[in-house]
Amino acid sequence: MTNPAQLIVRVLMATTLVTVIIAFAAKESETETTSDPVRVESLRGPTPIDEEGKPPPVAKYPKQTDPYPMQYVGQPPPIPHSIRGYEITANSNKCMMCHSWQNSVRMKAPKIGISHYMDRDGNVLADVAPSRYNCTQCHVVQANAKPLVPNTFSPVDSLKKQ
Amino acid sequence: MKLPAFLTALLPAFLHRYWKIFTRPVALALWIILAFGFFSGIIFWGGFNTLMEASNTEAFCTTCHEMHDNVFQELKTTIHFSNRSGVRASCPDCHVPHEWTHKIVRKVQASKELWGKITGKIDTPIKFEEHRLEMAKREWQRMKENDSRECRNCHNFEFMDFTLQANRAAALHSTALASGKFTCIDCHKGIAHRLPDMEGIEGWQTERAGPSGKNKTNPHSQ
Repeated sequence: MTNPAQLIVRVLMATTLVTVIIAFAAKESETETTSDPVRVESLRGPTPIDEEGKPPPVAKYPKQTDPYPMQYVGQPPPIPHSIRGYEITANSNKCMMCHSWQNSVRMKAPKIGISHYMDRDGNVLADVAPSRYNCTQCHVVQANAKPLVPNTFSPVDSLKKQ
Repeated sequence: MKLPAFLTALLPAFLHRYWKIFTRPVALALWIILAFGFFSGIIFWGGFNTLMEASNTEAFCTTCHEMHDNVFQELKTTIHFSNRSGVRASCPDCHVPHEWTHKIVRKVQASKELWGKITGKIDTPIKFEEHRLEMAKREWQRMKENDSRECRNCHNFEFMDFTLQANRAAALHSTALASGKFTCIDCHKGIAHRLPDMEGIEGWQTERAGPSGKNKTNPHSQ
């Protein structure tokens, strides 16, 4: 007859074997479920590759709107007016004609944030920091546009209610 | 008209003869001269103005690659070239006065540009860029001196409806422009072409933030 120690070893080995088999089976079934064709849509949508897609209508920006309320602390404010033809190049920056600290009072325009006059090490510069020069990198013309992808964002006020 | 008697005695005979011819010409000759003058006048004047108008077209301006490859391409993206209602300002609408006398003055000045064309002063994009500020400044100065006359050929201040303008546009047009202290070009620079380096230009106080490294760190901030 087998002694209890041998029995325990056998039981352990059997359970290990069963666990391994179950694990493999689970993995097998997992790969089976993901082997379905992945449905990823590119920007051209479901249009077949040999057909010309129908372009979406050109986005229209309002010429001037009231500023939208801010959604979170430190949000780059969206631009409440049209910026058609505004040039932002190494040669000139049209936005700064009104929003620089020199011009904002006279033009009655919001002054750009003090952070825009600092480099990334916190040194205060004589003028707009090169890293902040490209206004439209963060600030966009505001429009009541639908989100391109679904998201669960809610404004910062929602934190207060929790 | 008869020659005075004392002159008849004094002058040689051939002069006397010419005097007779010119004081009493054949009537037909007079009409021939008049008709000739009239028609050659039409041809000359008409031809002159036709030639001037021919040199006052977008097609003519863009025959030079200097204009076609630089400023004309820049114009194409602006509202003065293509817009919702299809009104277009072509090169001479802004760069050549419409009134005749001013036009002639500008045309004579423009003969200098022919010399530039011959010597190839701006015949590459790099050369063009090098002279962009100089050329732009010349146009801004011209516009400032004539109170933006070429703008006002189409944009009449009297007919502006401030209520249809954006608030910030109406605020400035009704004050700065209305007072005559500022003219169109003071604010509307670079509306049809790319701008040169605007450092130091009135109203464009911001320094260039490009790789030239002109943004010096303030030593007092540390």
